[in-house]
Amino acid sequence: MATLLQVEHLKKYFNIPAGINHAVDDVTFKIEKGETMGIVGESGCGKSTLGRTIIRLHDATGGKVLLNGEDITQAKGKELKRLREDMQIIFQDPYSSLNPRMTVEAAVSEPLQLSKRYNRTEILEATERLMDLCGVEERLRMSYPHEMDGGRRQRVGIARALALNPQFIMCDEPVSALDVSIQAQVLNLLMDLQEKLNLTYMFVTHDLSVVRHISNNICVMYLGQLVETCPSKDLFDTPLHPYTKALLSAIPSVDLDNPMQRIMLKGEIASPINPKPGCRFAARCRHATEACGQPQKLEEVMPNHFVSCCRIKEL
Amino acid sequence: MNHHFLEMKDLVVEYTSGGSIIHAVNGVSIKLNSGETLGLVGETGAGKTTLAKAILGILPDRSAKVCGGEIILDGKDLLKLPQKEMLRIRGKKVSMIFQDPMTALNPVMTVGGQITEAVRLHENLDLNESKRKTCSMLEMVGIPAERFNEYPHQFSGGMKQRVVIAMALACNPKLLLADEPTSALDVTIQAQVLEMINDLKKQYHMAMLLITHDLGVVAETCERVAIIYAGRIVEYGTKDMIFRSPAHPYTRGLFGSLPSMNSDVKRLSPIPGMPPNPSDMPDGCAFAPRCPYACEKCQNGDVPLAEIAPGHFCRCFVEKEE
Amino acid sequence: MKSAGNLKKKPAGATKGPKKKWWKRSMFFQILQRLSTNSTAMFGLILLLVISIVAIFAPVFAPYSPTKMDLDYMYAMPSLKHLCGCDEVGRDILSRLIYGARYSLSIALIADVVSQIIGVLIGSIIGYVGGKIDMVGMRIVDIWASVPSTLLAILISTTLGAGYVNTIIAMLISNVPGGIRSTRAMCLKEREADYLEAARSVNAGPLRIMYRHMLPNIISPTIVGTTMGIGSTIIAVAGLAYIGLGIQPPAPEWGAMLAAGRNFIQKYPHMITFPGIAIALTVLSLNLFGDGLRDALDPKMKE
Repeated sequence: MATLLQVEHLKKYFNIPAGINHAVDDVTFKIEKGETMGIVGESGCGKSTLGRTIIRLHDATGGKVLLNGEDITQAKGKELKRLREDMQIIFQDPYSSLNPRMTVEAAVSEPLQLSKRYNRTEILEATERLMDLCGVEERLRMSYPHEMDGGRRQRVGIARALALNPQFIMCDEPVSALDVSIQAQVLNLLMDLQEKLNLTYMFVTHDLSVVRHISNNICVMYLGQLVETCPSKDLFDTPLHPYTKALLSAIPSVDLDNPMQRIMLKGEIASPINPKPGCRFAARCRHATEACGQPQKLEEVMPNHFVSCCRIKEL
Repeated sequence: MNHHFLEMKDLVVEYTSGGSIIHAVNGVSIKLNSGETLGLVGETGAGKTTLAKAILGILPDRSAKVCGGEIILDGKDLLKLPQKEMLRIRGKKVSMIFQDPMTALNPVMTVGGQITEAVRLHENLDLNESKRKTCSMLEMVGIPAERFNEYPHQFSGGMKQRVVIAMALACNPKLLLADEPTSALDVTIQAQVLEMINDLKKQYHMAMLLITHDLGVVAETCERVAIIYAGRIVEYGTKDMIFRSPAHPYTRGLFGSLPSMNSDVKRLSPIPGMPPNPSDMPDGCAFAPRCPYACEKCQNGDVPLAEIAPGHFCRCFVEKEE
Repeated sequence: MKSAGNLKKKPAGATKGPKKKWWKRSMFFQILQRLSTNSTAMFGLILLLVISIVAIFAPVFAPYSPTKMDLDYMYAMPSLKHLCGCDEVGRDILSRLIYGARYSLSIALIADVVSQIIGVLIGSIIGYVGGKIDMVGMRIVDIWASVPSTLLAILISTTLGAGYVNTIIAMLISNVPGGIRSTRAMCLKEREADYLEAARSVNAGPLRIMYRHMLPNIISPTIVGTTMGIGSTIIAVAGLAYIGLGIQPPAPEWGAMLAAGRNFIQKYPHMITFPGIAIALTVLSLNLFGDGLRDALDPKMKE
């Protein structure tokens, strides 16, 4: 299978009055065509920033992103426009991701209009097709976003993302803001679309149960650093990094017969502003030692299972 | 035998919006004992928050109205109490944790000041004693007392929620209403906060009504569970009953649509359709349009809440294959 | 969608909406609807329309010519012949008020609307682009706005001279900085919105994002401000005329009429009373309408 997206030592820093915010720090992974990479982590871990940097909504501070082998971090002008058509984004908040003053149909057809490659009839037909594909009922197509509920708005967002026939879609917590029963519907839709259109997804979320269903591989992030990456099943069967273990144990389980053994983390999440070198989880980790203050490297500890922890071999 | 600490009988709450009347809560009865946690599970618009606000008497005056039922707290009907009495109960006997910690705190008051305000309103302590009580509350929720004079924006989400909890518990309430107390929090912080709530509940022997849409949270904290759909309780029983043998099709649908971490299901089975529009409720069972077991009978008239096993109630009479 | 069980066909819990015409569901129509239920706003609107129609069709409504002097009726008190009395050279005050409406309304409308348009254009660029343009631009605006607007108007009028066009220019120049600032403030808030990022991700250029996406969503406070601003501009123009700048006699401008009557408050109060009432009524109608417009534009969409 071909590698669609390759991220190498990607960095994104923000300059703020308090210092430098290391939002994304040296992240490396790859996604095969037609697969889904889940990016999990808690708030402030940099997963959203990672996604936006990859699709060039932010400019990277360092590192490379290769789409089909081509380095896209330096692309500008016409080339960037062409690239944007290959990489699209689905937003988290269905309430703010659609222009309140545009009809839903206008929102979905806008990308087609802007590409200047289609005439009016083609645009209308394509918009119809997209809405059908995403399950947006016909009677709603001339509505405004405020007349629709969250689940339907999200379908419109998905239809818009598909308009330009992208190969890669960054899904930024697309179901977090939806009710539980609607979440399942939208997730099914995303999986169906992936099969039909051979899409590649990067699925950013904090919800681990959702990510297991939709991802082939998962990356776990903590404060801008990538701490573990492996196939989904392996992450849940054999989590290796101490943070991953704690994260998995924290999830409330509906299985009454197998209650979770909680690994309680001490302290609060550190700040990503002007961080000290080395593992940023060390402050809360039970197994932290001196060596954890050195910059950590991502190592393959089991087949296809990479962990960024200097003490992993002993634990 | 059971003198229930909180007993709600057939509560009906109406909202008037743009000329139409909506029954946000449509005949709800629940019972809660001291030291017990009841989980109220339902989706947005099911009426859970309205219920909690009705208990506390803080429904918006203009648009909402309680037009039926009783809320009996420790023998007294809250709906019949004069405002003065309600003021004494609110914050002291009954306390509420709101959903969004980001907006529940006053941004221009120090956190210590806010907790002290709650204390002084209800206890007969002078300023210094109130401050000491506040500091002990802060310590109890895991916030160093030195942070008394800091402002909400200097705290993270999890810590803000802990401040909110400290405020709610400052006057040792007997009943705590928690409206999605951890939905806005990260999973690891959620675990810490839930554990803390459980410890405090045991320490104070509090009754708690936990409103949530997250069945996992319910499994960890509640003894009994009520499932609410379109303003009505559709299933009610102990946690074991609801989790091991869910009877109502909606409850089954909720469990079925959950992605599970422990198994590899290829496709999720969501509940088809959408929750009903409160101003346009179908006749008969509100869930019938989405129910895979629905039949003609379901559309005719109200379905009563029946006891299908001792202590296990369900608002559905369709025979289902197990 | 799979039909549920053995039920009669009914939409599966979907929110039903009557099939309305598309334009009826547009924001514009909904705003009009909300406005029409607000009685004070409608009162203001009707009053405004009445004043405007009277001003436009002045020759029809005015009993006399506004400049015809009749020295037999100098300082005449209100009577059946001259409903509002006459001024110091015998001109009918009512007729002058009616023709004067043209001046006040037109100057204020043009000055206010044009200054807001300029303010929005410049403010949106400064607000959206940010960075150095923001820094430099806002310092210029700060200096501009630090001169009290009345003083600024006086300065400009003195420099350019009095008269119709010059008064408009003076009002324009003193109103623009306010428009720039408020638009910029709203842009700063709105520019983080997701739908703007979505537009960027589908290759919308900055101009399109600013004017097709962002602007329609932040324009409401500006519209309300413009309506209310017309009122204050009318008063400002009257003020200029009062001190001898702005519109010059014999033009029947309300402020000039006030000025002419100020020495006779005790003896001939009708000379300032009626122009005063005219100004007050006009500004009141604008404010009532503007208030109602603000309520109507405020999207209480989330129930």
